[in-house]
Amino acid sequence: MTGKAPLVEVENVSVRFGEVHAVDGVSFTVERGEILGLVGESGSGKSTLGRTVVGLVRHPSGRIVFDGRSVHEGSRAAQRALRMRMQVIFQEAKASLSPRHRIGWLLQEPYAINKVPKAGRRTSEGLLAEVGLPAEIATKYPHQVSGGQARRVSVARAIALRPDFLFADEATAGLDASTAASLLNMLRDLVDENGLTILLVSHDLNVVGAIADRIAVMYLGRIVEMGPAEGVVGRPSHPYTRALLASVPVVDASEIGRVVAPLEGEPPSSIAPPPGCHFHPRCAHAIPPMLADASGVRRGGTEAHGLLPPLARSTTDMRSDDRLDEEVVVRNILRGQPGVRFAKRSQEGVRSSRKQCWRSSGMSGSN
Amino acid sequence: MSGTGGPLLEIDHLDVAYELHGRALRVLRDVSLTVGRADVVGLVGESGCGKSTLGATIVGLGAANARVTGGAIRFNGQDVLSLDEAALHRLRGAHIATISQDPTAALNPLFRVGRQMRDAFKAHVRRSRSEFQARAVRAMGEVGIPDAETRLRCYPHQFSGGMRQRLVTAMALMLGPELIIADEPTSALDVTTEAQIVELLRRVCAEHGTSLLYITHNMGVVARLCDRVAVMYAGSIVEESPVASLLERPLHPYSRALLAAVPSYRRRGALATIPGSVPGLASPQPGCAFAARCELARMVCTTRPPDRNAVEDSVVRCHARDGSLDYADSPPVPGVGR
Repeated sequence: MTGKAPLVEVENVSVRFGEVHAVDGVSFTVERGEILGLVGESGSGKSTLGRTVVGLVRHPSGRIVFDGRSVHEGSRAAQRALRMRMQVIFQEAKASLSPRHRIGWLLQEPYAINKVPKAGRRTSEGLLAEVGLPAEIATKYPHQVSGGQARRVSVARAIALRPDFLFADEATAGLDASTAASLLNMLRDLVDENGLTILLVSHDLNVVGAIADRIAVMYLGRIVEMGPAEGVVGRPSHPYTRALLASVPVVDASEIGRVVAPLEGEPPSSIAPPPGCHFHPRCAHAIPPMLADASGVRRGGTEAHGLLPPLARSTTDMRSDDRLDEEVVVRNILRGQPGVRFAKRSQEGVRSSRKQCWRSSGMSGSN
Repeated sequence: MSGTGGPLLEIDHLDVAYELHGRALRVLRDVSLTVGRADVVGLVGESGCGKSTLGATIVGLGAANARVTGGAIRFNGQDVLSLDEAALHRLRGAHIATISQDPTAALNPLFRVGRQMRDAFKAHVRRSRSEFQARAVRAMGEVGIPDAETRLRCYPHQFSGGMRQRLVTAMALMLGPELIIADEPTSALDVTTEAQIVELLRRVCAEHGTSLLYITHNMGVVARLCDRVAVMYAGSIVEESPVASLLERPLHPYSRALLAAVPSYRRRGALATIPGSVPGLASPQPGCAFAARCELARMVCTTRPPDRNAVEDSVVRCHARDGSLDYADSPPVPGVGR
């Protein structure tokens, strides 16, 4: 990531399916040779966003640039050439492998589709070896292999064309712990040894947090927080990220008997998302001016640790009595000093329910 | 079914086999587990280890080709396996309630939820409709379904996934069971909804003194919710420990490997993996089922199944932990382990 242009640039991309706002004005970059983890709950738009980046969702508004070229514009041939360099590990590995063909044939399919000359092809056995599978898998049909093996076959097929970019959609969902761990290790090795760039989409913050270099958190079609992985999980800034972190079960002695104050309610419908910050109906820190406008992004904490409203938006149009209060919240959250904030806030006569929520949201320096 | 002094649920050397194509596949091997009153016990294991089979066998709802080939299950001192269908019917729902992974499948889409709750109620209690209404509304309030009177007139599809799981929990609570068996109740839910349901189960079980057997593959949820945990591998409980000792000092090599393999955002970097794969049911191992993947395996592990040994507050099935000389004197296995 040294001075080079990002591999993928996403600029103000929105995707609508009829009335559903699946992705709502998202901008981010994927740097070369990194794993960017995209985490969110079901319906947050993370898979749609990933599919849009690799051109599987057509005609989004906004612009996606891959290595200097637009993914959704240009001639068909140009788009196809671009798509050869970006491959997908689909969510349901078995469903993505045709049941009528042997795995050896399926692994050669990308070469046939893209008319790769014989000299540029690699043997199925060689591809299987690269993902740690024995050569005899090539003679089997997809239903004859286990879920973990099918997942590795999809990785082998995805890397057959030597792509620069992989979009891994819930690559470990449904796998047992040890199988998932070895798959994640393999993805990490592909990045570290082959210089691949991966967009890893998952609902599981533990998966993303364990291997991603940077993390983007999505909620209802928007990225609400993005930054280096250590920063996002260690000093989360957005109230939604905090709630997500507090909810995630961790295998750790600190988890024993931990009482979680869960986030109330459920994500609203993406057909009619709430105005302003989408999270505000469930957010303990929402204040009236934040309900209307969600345009401001402020950078804070570490570099490139972007933060969307409500806490970090511009305070210019806040009511004066709220301004002081929220300023303190923002500053101190970014410093990770909740204790200081409590003291200052109590002088402002803040409702006790807010404090209650802060205290129990798992942020009290334990991370 | 009046209470006796003993534990609420005792599973004693239970063996269960599936009959398939004329062959008997042993899915549960010598499983022993006790759930006391107001105990919250976790049952964890990877897919196919037999944890759901165990939960279903307790309430006599095993698969059609499942057969108990040995051992006993006692609930309140009464032998569950000898009960006839009518007695099992009285036991299920009223004394042992179950919550399944998929609440959608547990609810009939053609009937309003109030009707379905009333059916469950009438199957056990002869009371008036107003008595049912009062109890249903109270149970729904307890699980956090607002506006219960209106919601009773809704159909299942009008509830979200999390709300459906609350509804099924309310149905389970309505008759005041002594034991709830929850089989992966949060696996299909988002983490923030999962946290809500886990807190809900913790609260209602504590308030009513209900025992809970929580079946899951998610060790983190077990840590949050349970007092004790049983780890299953290939049809056997390999370790049963208080949650704290399992997390801090796992005794069985499989427990340790499993804990290390679970990804966590607090532990970045390469993840530990377990070499090899779970043995198939069709090819039973003569010794310990984990021996082929175990870094501590010696010859004795591949020839003789380990017995249950009590170590402090835990029970573990491992030759390396039984303190006998058999393991110490046994030669290493060529080509096995690491």
